[in-house]
Amino acid sequence: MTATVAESLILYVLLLLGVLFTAIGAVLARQLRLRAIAAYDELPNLIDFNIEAGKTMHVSFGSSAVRDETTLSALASAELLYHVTERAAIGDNPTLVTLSDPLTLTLAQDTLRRGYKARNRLVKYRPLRAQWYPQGRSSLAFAAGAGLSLTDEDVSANYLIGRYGAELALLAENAQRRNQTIIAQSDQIEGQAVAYMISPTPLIGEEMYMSGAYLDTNPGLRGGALAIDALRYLTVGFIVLAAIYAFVTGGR
Amino acid sequence: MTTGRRSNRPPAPPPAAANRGQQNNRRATRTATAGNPRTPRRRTSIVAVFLTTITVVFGLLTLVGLAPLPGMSDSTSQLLSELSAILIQLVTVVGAFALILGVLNLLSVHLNKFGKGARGGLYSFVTLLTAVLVVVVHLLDRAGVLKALEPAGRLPGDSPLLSLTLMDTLQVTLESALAGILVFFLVYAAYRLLRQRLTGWNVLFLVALIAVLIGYIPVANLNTLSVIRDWLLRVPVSAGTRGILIGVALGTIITGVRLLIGQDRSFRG
Repeated sequence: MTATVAESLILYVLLLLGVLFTAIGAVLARQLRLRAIAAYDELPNLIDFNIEAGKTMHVSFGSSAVRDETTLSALASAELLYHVTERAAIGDNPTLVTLSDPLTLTLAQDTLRRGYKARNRLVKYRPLRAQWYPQGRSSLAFAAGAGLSLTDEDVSANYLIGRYGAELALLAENAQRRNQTIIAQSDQIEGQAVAYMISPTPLIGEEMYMSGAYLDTNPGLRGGALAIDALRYLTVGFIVLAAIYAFVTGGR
Repeated sequence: MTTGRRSNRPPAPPPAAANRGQQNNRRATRTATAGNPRTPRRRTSIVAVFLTTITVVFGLLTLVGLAPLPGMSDSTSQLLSELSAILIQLVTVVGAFALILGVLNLLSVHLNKFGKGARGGLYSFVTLLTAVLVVVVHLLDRAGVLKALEPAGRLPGDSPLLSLTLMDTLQVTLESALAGILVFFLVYAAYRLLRQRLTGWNVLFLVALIAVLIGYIPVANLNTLSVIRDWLLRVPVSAGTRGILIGVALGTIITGVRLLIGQDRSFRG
C-alpha cells in the first residue's frame, strides 16, 4: 500500500527530525540525564540475583516479527535481549528466549551469540535456548508453550517485551505462580493494559525502544532517547495548538 | 534531558535476595555484570560493513517505494513501488521457508528435554507425539487412505478434511478454553494490583475498569451507567490509548532512524 503525499511528507519530516535530534543527543550524550525507568534501573539487580541463585533470565518477543509492521519492536526486543545476555553471560544458566515468528528465531539466536561473544563466553552459547512456539490463531498456543518453558527452566525474571494481546496474562500467571519477576510491555493496547496490571514495573509506550539508551554507553543510543522525548513534546505541542485552533475557529 | 516523570516502585526483590550473605556477593557480581563499559572494543569487519550497506540501501529503497518522496516523478515512484513490492514478497517467501526452521527448533527443543529427562519431559513427549501424528494423518489424508472417513460428494482436489477437522476440534477448542480462563487471570491480576500497589493511579485504573464492566450489565432503567461507560470509553480511554500509541509510533520512528543510519545492534556487533 503506497502512502499519500501528505502521509509521506509527515513521515519524512518526522524521520528528518528524528535524525536531527538523535545527532544533537549524540553530541550532548555525556550531559544527558535520562529520567528514571524502574524496569531498566532494576535490570542489573535482577541479573545479579539471577547469577547468584543459579537461575535463568527469560526474554520473550511475543509475536513481534522481523517481516511485518512489528519489525522494529522485534529489533527493540533484540536490543534488550543483547544487554540481558551480555550481563548474564557470566552465570551458569544461559538466557532463555521465546518467540512466535520463525524468521525472528535467527535474529534471537544471533543476538544470543553476540551477547556471549561480547563476554568471551561463546562456549556457553546454546542455539536451542532460543525457542519457537507456533502462534496459533490468537497467540494462545504461543503463550501456553512459552509459559511451560518458563516453568520448566527455573526462571527468576521475565522480560516480556514485544507484541502481545490479552494472552500476556496467561504467561504472567505461570510466572507469578513461581514468584518470578515480570517486566512487561506491549505495542498493542490490550497487551499494554494487561502489562500494567501484571508487572510491578511495566514499560509504557515508547520506553521499550529506549533500552539501549539506558543499558549501553553508545552516544547514538542516548541521542535516540533524547529524540523520542523531543518528538513527543513537539507532538504534544502540535496537538494542543490544533485543539486551541479548532476551539477558536469553532472546528471550521 | 528529562526529569523524573514517573518513579515506579522497583519490583519486589526475590525472597532469597534478602539474605545478607547474598547481598555481599551481589556487590562482587555487580562489577562483572555492569556491561558495556568494560567490554573490549571490537574491530569492524568488512563483511559487517557490506551487510550494513545492503540493509541500509534496501531499507531506503523500500521506504521510498512505500512512501514516495514529495516531488518525485510518477514513473520513478511507480518503479520504486514495484521494487518494494518485490522485496516484500521475497521476505514473505523467506518467512515461509523459515517455518521449517521453526518446526525443527520446536522438535529439537522438546527432543532434547525428553531425552534428558528434564522437568516437563512428559509434556515434551506429548508435543513430539502430537507433531508426528499430525504429520502422519495429513500425509494419509493427502494420499486418500482416510477417504472412508470423509463424507460423500467431496472432490479429489479438496483440502484434506480430517486434518482440518482435527485442527478445529482440538486446537481451536483448546485455544477457546484458554481464552475463557484468561478472564479469571485478568480479574486476579487486577486484585493483585490493588493489593500490591495501592496508588492513586492504580485505584483510578480499577475504578474505571469496574465502571466499564458494570456498564455492560444489561439492567433496565440503568441508562446512567451505560452513559458513564460510553463517556469513559470515548474520552479518557480513547485519549490514553492514543497517547500510548503515539509514543509507540515515535519509538518506532527513532528505531527506524537508527536502522537506516546503520546504528542498530545487529550492525554494531
